[in-house]
Amino acid sequence: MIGVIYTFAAVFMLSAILLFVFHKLFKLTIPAYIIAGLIGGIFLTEEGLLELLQWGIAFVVFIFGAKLEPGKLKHGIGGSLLSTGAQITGLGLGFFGALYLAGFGTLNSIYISAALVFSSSLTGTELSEKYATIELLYGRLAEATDVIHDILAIVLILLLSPVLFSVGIGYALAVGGGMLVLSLAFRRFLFPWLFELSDHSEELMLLSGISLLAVMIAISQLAGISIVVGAFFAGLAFSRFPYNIELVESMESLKDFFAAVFFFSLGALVTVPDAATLGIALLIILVTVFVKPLLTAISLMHYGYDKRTAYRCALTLDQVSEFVLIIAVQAYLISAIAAPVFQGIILATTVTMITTSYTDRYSDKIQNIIADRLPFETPEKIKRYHTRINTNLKDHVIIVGYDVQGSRLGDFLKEKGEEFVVIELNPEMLEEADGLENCVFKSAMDNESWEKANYKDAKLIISTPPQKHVSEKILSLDTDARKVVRSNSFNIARKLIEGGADYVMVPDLLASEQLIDYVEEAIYGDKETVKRMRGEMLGKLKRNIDDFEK
Amino acid sequence: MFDIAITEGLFITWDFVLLITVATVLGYIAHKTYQPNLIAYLITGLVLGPVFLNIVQETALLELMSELGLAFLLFLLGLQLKFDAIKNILKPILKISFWQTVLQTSLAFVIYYFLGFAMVEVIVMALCTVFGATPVIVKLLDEKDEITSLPGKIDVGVLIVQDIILVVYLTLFSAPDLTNPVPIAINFFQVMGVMAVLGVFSYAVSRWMVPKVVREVGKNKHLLFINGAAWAFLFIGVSLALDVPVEVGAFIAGLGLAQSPYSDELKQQVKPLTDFFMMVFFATIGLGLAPEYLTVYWKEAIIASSLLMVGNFIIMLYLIDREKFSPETSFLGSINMVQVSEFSLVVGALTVSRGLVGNEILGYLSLMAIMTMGISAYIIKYNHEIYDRVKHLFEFMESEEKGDVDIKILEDHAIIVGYNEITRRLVPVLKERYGDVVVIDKNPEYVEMLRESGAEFVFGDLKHEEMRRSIGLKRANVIVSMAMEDAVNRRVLSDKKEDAITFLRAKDRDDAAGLYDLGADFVIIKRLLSAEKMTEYIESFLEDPETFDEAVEGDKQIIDWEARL
Repeated sequence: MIGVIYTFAAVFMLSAILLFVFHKLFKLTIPAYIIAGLIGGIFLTEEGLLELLQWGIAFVVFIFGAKLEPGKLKHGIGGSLLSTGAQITGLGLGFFGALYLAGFGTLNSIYISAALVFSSSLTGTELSEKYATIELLYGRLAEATDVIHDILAIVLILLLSPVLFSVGIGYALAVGGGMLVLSLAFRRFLFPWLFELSDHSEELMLLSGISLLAVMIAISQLAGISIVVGAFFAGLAFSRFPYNIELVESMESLKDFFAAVFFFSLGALVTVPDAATLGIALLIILVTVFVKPLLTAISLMHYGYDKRTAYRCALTLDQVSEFVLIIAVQAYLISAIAAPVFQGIILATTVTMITTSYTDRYSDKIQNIIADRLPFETPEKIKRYHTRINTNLKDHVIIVGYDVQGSRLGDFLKEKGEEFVVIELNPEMLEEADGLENCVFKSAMDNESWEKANYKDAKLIISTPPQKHVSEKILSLDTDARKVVRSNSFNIARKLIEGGADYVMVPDLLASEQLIDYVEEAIYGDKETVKRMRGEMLGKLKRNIDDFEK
Repeated sequence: MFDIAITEGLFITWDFVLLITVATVLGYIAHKTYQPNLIAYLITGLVLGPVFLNIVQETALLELMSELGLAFLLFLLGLQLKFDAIKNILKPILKISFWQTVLQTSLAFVIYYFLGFAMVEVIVMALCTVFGATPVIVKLLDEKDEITSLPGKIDVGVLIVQDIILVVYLTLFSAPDLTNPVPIAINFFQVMGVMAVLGVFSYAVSRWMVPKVVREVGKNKHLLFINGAAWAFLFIGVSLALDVPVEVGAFIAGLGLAQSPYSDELKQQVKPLTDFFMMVFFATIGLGLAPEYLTVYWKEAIIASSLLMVGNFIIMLYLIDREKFSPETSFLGSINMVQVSEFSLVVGALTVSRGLVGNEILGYLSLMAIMTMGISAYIIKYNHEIYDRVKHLFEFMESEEKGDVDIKILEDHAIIVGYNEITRRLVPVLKERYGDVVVIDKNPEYVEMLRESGAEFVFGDLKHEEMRRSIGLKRANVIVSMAMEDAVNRRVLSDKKEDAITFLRAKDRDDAAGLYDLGADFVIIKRLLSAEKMTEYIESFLEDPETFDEAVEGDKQIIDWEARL
């Protein structure tokens, strides 16, 4: 027992140090653990750790299930399905065939191809950018793709049951289906009841969660299929439940503990890589970083998405999923796949997670570069949006970007009967703007956009994207029009004012001023004031929803 | 590199599945009958172990988890001990704790002696059974929102001192040779020396280094948690290496961190893991007991429990009263404390493993823990009602010179959830109107900044019920929440007092509509807010560009000023 405690001490201290470093450099956790494990594996014994490996799998997959939001499929499911289809046929089946012919054997080939297809939703959400852009089209596409990948991974595990656990495929699918039903029934009937019964007690919710997890895993073991399936459906039983925060919160701290042990152990399972391991790792890395994004982007373009959206979305999918690690370690532990394959997958996952933090950080630039250089275009006949100018634009307002801010201003100008034109590149935003008389469907960085918008005769240009290069482009325009641009940073805002902007919208400042107006009115007013204000705000919101649904 | 040697023992076993499901079911029953969960866990072990069904064995895995459970329990205990919280009643608390330990140990000693136990047993049991159960008292009082009341504070203060004494007992009983007083003494002083060094180290690090680290990692709770665990394991490892009980190391690790303002959030992170391991720990105690161990001393357990509950109540009442608190405070403070600590089982298990006493003593201690905790749970639940019934009996204690110290309770205050550019400017506005402003945020960077502005800053996450209570959500007059998580805002709405004004932020229109349905006064969508202000400006531009220039002049100055900061 004493040895175990020392091992744990080493695991957590090493992990904490590497996490700290990785957080500063990449904002990533999983690669930090794996590398901590690589180091720790040199001098530690596995006592106690491998015993908890399964717990790591159980909790990580549980959280996976609990965070799955099928609702994310609402937007962009068509494109995501098409691109996933392309990934499966192009990368999955293609490489499976090639590897199989090259003599890798069925299972080894399947696992390597799986590493090529699946990308990670956990790593994705860990990188801050993704959260911030959830409202943008490419973000939604990427999220829908993540959900599809997660579901497919479970299906793959079920399909692999015959080879891994020697049970019939129909049987495995039936067990999986049964568990899904059980999970949905629990979610629909038992959990709400338990939640009330426990008076929302965090400790009881935690116990209920672990119980369900344990029972589902026991069922998987009894049925002879992978415990991943049970853990996933246990998590699914709690997903998107409106009151699941307590549960997910507390399960998450258990997950953090066991996941640290899990990923650390994975790293510790890696030896000094030989040529075969390196070769496999390199193959996965190259395909994931270069081929997969390109394939994804092209397939999205052929669904009709604009090329920038397509590249941007593709750039969020350029890493190997930790799910692949989970299924690979299971296969490795029962000696179903070869050591170089397993280790190659671990190395490739670690490396691609690190590279993805860079492509995420610089995705704006990368997307601009490749969109300009690569010869792929959205085919003209399925392009969904076109530039239209219906009035003779004079003394007008130009709005750049038609997101919430832009469309509010547009509505207001419409109300006032002002003439205006919108420059917007994001097709989804234009979908909302169907009723617009004038819009230029082209990048604001493009001079042609400005010519079309007749910028010389405009009286006001309002730019709503926060990117500095857009603002600078506008300030460089030679026109008498007043220029209002936007920035999220006070520093840049100040520079832009010095550079000639008539005003810089800093959303935090604007929002805070408006909020203070409201708060002051409410806290010094009486009950009636609050009631009246509430009615007004509700009215505005309703109008907004109507706009949205129109 | 690790070898892969997979054995059956690896898998999540039926033993575990049974243990957790039974514990869950009993947990719900305990909850519905107002009993602490600890009792449910102990009984789980008894039901599944040799006492009743005998279908679950202690496996290596359970053993590992219960070992970790004990270490984390002590770490969490240390994390909860904030000296700041009892600063203004420190003197009376030290006096009460000292005399309480002396008097109650003597009482227990006499009772056990007359019940006919052997001398070693008498000593072990007397030391074990005089202390109150921190998890039971803290949890129940917290649920009743009485933890910050004066009796609650006195209890917590006394418990802090008791816990420290218990850690000393743990070290005493783990001395290598317990028959000879000289090595015990040597061991004791060695351990005390190590504890002192570790304590100073822990305090120094948490004072000087922790703020820096937390500022880096605090925003990411995953990192905060792993760093916390690493910190605990560091002390556990050092204790092992120096031959000090690991529990002591864990306790000191927690104690050092507790004094930093960041401990609350870490505590919330560590708690679920500890709850889980602790469940295994207490169930394992039940599993280890054979039926005969329980039946040997059941009569003695009943007699001693009743005598000690009454005796301890009288002793505490006398001691608190002596410090000139009001009779009500003395009564409540002492009646909350009549149960036996869960540590009696920890120390008991240790003495059994050291061969000092037999398993039947552990059985006896378990019975006593179950009985006293069970009864005291009801006593704490109905403490005010009991007092109202028997108030007249304590009239003789009333006197002019007695009275309670004032404790500040947050009331009619303003709460800001999430400190950022938007809410920062709100602090002075709310402060002027309500006086007290509490800001809670998951980002630790603002501690210093807010200290200057006069608002109280709490580092933490409103998802935790304890956090919601500690900022007095139920008593606030206005709540401005910038939390993007819908569930947090829903909790605000369900917990707030009826006429509190709420400004809640939603990430999209769906969430906003949902919050209005639940009764939110104002739902903020940041982009709409800024768009509204901007529309105002554009309107002025359309009327006259000059007015626009004037309107935005102020903003330009703010931008200039902020950029220079």
